[in-house]
Amino acid sequence: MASCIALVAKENYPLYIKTVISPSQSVLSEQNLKYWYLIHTCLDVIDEKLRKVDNKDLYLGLLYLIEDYRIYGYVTNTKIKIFIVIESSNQQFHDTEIKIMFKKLHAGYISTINNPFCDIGKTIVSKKFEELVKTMLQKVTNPIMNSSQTAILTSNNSQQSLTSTNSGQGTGEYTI
Amino acid sequence: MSWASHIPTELSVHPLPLVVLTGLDIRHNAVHKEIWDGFYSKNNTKFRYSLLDGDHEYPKAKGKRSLEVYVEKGILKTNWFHKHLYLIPSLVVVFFELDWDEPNWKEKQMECATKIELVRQSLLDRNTRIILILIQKHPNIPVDGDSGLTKERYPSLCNACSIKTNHLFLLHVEYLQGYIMKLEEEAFNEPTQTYYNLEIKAVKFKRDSLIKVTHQYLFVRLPIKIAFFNEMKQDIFKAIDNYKQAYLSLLDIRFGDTNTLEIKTVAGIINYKLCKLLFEIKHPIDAIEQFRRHIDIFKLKIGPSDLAFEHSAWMSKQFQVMGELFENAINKEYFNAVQTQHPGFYFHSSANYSIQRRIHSREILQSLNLSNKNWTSENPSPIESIDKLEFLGQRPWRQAQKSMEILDQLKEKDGILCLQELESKENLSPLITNLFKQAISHFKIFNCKRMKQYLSVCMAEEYFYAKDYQESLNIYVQVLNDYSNEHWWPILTSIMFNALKCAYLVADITNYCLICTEIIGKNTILSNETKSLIQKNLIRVISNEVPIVEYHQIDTSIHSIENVSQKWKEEMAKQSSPTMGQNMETSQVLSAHKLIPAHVNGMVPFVDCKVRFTSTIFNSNEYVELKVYLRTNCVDQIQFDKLYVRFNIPAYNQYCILQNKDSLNFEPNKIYELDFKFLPQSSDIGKDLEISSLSLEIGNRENRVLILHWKGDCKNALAEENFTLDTFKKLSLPYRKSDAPRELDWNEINISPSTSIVSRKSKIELVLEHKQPVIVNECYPIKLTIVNKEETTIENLSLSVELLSINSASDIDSPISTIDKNIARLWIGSIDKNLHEIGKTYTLPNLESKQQLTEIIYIQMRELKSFELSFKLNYTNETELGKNEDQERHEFDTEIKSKKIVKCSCVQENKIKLETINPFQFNFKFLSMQMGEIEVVRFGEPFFVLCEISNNSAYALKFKDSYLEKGKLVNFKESEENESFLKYETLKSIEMATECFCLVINDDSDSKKVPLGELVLKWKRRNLGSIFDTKEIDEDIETDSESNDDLKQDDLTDELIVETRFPLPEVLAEPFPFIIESELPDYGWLGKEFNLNYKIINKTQSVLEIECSLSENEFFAISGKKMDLIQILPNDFYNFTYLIYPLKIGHCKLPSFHVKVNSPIEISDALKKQESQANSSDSLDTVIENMIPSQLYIFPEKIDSIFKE
Repeated sequence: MASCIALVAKENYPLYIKTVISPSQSVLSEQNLKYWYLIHTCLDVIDEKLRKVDNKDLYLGLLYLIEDYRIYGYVTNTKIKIFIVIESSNQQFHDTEIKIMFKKLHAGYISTINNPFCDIGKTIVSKKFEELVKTMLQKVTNPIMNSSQTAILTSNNSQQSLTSTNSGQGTGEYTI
Repeated sequence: MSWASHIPTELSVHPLPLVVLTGLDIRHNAVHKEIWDGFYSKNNTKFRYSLLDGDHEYPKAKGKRSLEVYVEKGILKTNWFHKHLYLIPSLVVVFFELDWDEPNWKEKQMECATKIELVRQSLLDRNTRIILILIQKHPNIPVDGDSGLTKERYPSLCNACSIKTNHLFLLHVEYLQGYIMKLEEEAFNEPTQTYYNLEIKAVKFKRDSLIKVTHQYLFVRLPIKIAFFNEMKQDIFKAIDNYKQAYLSLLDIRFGDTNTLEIKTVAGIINYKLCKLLFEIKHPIDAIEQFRRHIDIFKLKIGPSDLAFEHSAWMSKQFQVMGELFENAINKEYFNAVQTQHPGFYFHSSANYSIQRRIHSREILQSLNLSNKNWTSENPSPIESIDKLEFLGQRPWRQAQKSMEILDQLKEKDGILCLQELESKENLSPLITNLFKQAISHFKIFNCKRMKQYLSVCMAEEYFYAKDYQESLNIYVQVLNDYSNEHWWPILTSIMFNALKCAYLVADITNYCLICTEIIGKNTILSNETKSLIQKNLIRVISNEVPIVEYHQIDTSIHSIENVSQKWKEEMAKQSSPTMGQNMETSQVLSAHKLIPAHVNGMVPFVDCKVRFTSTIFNSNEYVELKVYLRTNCVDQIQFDKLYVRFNIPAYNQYCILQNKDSLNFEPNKIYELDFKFLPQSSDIGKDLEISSLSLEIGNRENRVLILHWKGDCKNALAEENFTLDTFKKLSLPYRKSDAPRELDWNEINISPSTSIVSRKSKIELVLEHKQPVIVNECYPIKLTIVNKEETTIENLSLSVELLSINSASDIDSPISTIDKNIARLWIGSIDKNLHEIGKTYTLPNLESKQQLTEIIYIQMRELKSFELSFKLNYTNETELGKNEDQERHEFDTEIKSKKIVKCSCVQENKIKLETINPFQFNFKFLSMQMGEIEVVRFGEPFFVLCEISNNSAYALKFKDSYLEKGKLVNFKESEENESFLKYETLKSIEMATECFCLVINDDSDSKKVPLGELVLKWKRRNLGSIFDTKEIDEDIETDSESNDDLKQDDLTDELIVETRFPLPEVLAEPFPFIIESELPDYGWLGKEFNLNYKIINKTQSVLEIECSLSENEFFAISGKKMDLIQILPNDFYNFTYLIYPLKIGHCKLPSFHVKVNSPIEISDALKKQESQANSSDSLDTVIENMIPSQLYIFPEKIDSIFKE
């Protein structure tokens, strides 16, 4: 399905970014950075959209139709931005399907921050949320690699979250 | 690599019908030149003109060939567009100088016919039209018919030249512009349209006989031709239809390695045309949709893998031209672009494909050894004719073949090799950077600053690739700030890492150090080893050593690093060479070179810093304490050399410099607390002390110094992450604290970058005694008692008192302004009513310890208004230095061995709020002489004014005097003695007193409102509480016993007496023709007659004739004229005298007296009118009733005798 899912805080710093890029690759790999740049540039469109219309609908629709990717955006009432990136070569999704994905992510985010031990405004660390995102992310295309890759995915879960390496505190211990 | 991404330049030219002009000799003939310039130079949008000789050879038309034998060689010929745009005319115009009255007509006619025939010969088999234009000198000769000569010669000429009569036109040199316009409209339009219609018809005819299987290429070519001819004749919609048809037919062709490029090239051309035309007819959505479809179809048609770069080049070109078309359409204002759909995206994609092209070509080149074959003329290169292809998109070594298989594999291999070689010579960087620049300019328009940043980064990478490290570094440095504000660390890390490489490669010391300070911080996502190495390099640079290249992971296969270390050495030598420091200027420049300031506001360094004054207020006699917290988050331990703090008051800068190396050696991730303390100067009392900056230096001044510079309130981007839910975080703090109670938590350190220096807390007591509320206008006394509670003598004591008004609308606590002098007055000590002051400073004598001083202050407030009174005591005394008692610190006591005595000044301020009330409430009544209440008085007639004065205040008030200051038009009635009823009276709370005046209003003719004057009351408050010692208390006991009147009179002389004036209301006074004055005893006796006298006074200026009557009643027997008609002279009077005899006792009604005015007539009319109009109360009788008494009390006779006895 999706190839990248991202949550961005009200102040436009990333809360959570997960891509289909194998976790064995460095965060700074070109592929990974490309997603980061993609999400980051989409904030322009979101800013503009939020400035222009007093949007009642949280779903902002297709933001950019860049050659290889379609990027959809969603803004919660507290201005948390959620992004779903889908490769254009993939099947086309109907708006309602995308909306459902966003609703799920939104609900997931809410239940994550409902955790009294959750540090609001910091990188999201939650196994449940991670699971949810994983179901939405594209399965690894290579069928041979599939089993081993997913194994890596689960084992490296907490490390894969990008900023967890520098968040300083003992993150990753809280579950809802 | 023009062969793969070729879009012929002819396509961008706007197709216009080609019109060839012949017979003009512009070199030798000025008139001809003028004509040519007239056609050509005009900004022509209708035709394309070309000047040719009359005997010009046009491209020969191909003979009609049978389709059955036709072999398809390619889709579209390279020169086809060019040929039809520039070579084959739709119309040939033959100019010929000939006047109708030409003498040698026959010869000239022949000559002309020959010329036309020549043109016609060279256009054999073409549909090109020919027209003849005669250049004539005499425009006066009429063209149409009436001249016999013209009538005769016109058809003869047409006949001779065998052209239709409507293809012959005239041109007069005089009116050139007008003729040109007319010719274009009338003469050129029709033949060109006909030409293209014929061409289209011919092509259509050919197309209709095509066979689907064998003529696949023609199925593409012919619609393109039709479309282009339609374009020529400006029929855009038909053109679009035909191009679409061609595009669909093109997709029907089977793709293979041999023809992919050809199909793609043609597809590119058709797509270009389609998009261009769709934009022109303002259908941008259709154009974009067409382009997307085009890209989707051909994206995966890569062709031979050895030439994959060819495909990328083609893709790049597609996007680029689309971007250009889009841009052009916007510039021509066909429509507006939006944020999510504008040319920037296309340029961006184009750049990306160009980068991909380079990647592909590099991959291919790496795997291949370039042949070093030398192609000679005998053995020509297979791609020699690459620029001279017959058909678009074909391989030069196998042109004009429609085979799906490659016949000559060896030749193919050679050919591909040659193409690869050609590609390897391409330098794509300028193209790519240019595309990025174009994209950036578009994204800028649409407010996409992040996209702009991203593209800048891409551009910087491109420059880096192109080894223009300086340019690359410049761009990186520009975007770094933007990105660091947004906290996208992985992006930032990658940019910084690349920027550091650039800085290293160009040996830019300043930027190198700055980037290092950021990159070794905790936020970057680099491994600790890398960070450690970079930190080592930073230290090396600061100590003038060349950094180690291996730490930067530079791909040495691409980037040469040979000269870099030499460059570094030169840079360092340049900056530290001591020999150059001879003249002052250069030495300053050099020292500036050595200092590398890093302003932390724009970056996130590896050191966190927080500054805190330990208190928000410091007394002038205690030490200001400042704490600096530092925490490094680099990987390795680091040694700083100097720390200094700067303040807004520079005098304190000297106290906060730390150069101790031991205390500036920081372990990573530990919090270091540094203390500074200094004594504030007395001149700075009342000022705010703020930290303006904090600097931290690494390196010694001989080599190089990196200064981390925090400005303002140390808004380190790391210190506050700008999180939204700050309050929530604070709430959760106690839990964490209990986990590790001993350790200092960085997040818990509050930044407080400013403090105030205040004067020492005074120890003086100020007691205020007074009795609220203040009564308006009174001299309100306040008793001040100042007690010195200091240990020492107070000197320079001064008291300043100020009256401040309270703005009731806003905050009550903040008195805004002083009060107007006319409203309030203030005296200290004694009352001097001539002084108008509301604020003053008094110097008071020195006070020994425990001594006390008393002052009385009087305030007079003339309006009902609450206000604030501020008392400020300033003094100086000698005091001991130290902390406040409640903040004792032993560490300080040990430091200061001898107790310092400091002279310091103190301020004590007390404020009281005062309410005012009005003392009196007045009520007025007007009474007639008969004590009836009246509203209207008459001139000359006396009346009473009754003033009811009630005491509204809570205090007893004592009057000294009261009187009426009468108005100008008012007189006291002579008989009345105006003695004050209130004199020496005391009015207690809620009590009421009455004052009465009898007044007469001076005569006047017109009725009007008359001001009566002002009631003046002189009074004071009887009891002022404890302020005036015991005397008042006695008075309190006395209450209001009459016997003490004398004593009170003395009292009333004192200065506290004030005057309150109250204006009496105006009364309506009106004229009346007469006044009746009655004369009768105050009472009567039963059976004892007495005189009743009515004196009627004429108030008018004319003789008054009145009829008077006295009606009888049961109470009295009357003798006298009961009815009389009298005349009274002006201002004279007449007496009616009656003798009456009481018949009953008690309140007896007097016989009623009636008056009727007969003359002057106007008065009697006026009175009658008034009577009829108004209520009965206003009738003449009622008026008279008010003038004379209506009743008399009659005593019985018996009592009379008793009285007599």
